[in-house]
Amino acid sequence: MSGYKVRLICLLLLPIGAGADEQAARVMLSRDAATSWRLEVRQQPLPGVLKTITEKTGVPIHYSVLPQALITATCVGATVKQVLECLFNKKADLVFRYKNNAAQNRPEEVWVLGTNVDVEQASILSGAETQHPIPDMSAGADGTEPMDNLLEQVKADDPVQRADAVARLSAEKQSHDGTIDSVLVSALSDKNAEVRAQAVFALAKRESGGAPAALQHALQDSDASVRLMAVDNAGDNVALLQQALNDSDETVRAYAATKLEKFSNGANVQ
Amino acid sequence: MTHIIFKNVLATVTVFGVLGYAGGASAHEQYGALGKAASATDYYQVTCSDDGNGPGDHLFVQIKDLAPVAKPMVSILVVNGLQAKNATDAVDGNATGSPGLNIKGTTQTYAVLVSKTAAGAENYFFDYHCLTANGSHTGTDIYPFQNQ
Repeated sequence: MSGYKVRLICLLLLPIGAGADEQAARVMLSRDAATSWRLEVRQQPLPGVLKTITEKTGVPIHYSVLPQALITATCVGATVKQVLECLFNKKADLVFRYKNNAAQNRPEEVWVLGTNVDVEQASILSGAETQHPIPDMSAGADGTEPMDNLLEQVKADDPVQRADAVARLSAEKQSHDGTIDSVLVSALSDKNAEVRAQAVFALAKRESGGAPAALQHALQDSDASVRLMAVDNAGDNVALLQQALNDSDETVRAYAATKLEKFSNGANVQ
Repeated sequence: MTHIIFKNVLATVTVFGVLGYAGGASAHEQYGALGKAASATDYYQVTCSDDGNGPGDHLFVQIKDLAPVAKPMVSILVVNGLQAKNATDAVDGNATGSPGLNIKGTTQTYAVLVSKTAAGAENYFFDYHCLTANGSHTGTDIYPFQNQ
């Protein structure tokens, strides 16, 4: 680390003397062995951050819909591409266009497709450089994800995203009941077991009219995790628990037996 | 150091805590199961309130890994404000559970997370009790936020 010259070139995005709220977004170019971009964002809306990046790097960034929540992030990367990938943290598809035969250090323009920001992963990295920022997003007054985002995420190719979206739909307001329950019932047939399990949980948690049938259906699932979720959400459905005593999986049988034992002892078991 | 902030999530689940959770256990025992994924985590909110015995001062939890005996160990993590505590039931399926945890909260809302150390499904239950400063049991409610 010794013996090198560090030239620090700071390009502040905001005028000197700006208020505390306006000082959040800045791009800093530091030169060590390589040139790197450093982006620091504190409680700024994402559209504004992208506008600032465009203004300072000259790279146009196109998008149609972005979360309006405020973000906090720290990103360091050798290229604009790395910084953007870091900023979105795999929550959006990014498309970069480069000039033919040009070194791919600076794209000509960027498109942001399909953002899915997860408020559950809200965290702050304090004072440390990182290639992987963790945005602090406030999705809304009640903290729930916009339903349109979730309904899109339920169709994602990634089963982890689908399962996550299904789980979050359990918390959506009653006014969306018809659509949500329909989506959850469809998810009971997803090819991924975790998605199916989360659909069982979501229907039970919402006390949907389709929940009893969903639990019964889940108890016949080929995957033990789904059957275990059915037992976990059986509530006071003694008949279902008794059925689970004959399950092929030891964990499912044991859990059903435990719950039934507590019922017979008069305890109220969730 | 990564600093996990549950502020917004707890604000969300506080709404559910007020509305109440159908089928809530009155005995302050929460039964649950973790799916086969090593990363499976169940996440609850426990809210303390004054039921006439006094305001909640701290939360006591203790977790027990239930039969069948399997490789993973089950752990419970409690977070309140800027403090967190964790306990593990080191022996699966026996009569004793993890060490008890007492966490003195700065708010009445606690995040309680249950996880395990390896792949493989696990059954568990944990006791949870809101206690006053002099150790009396007081209002205790639980709401499941994540079930894996």
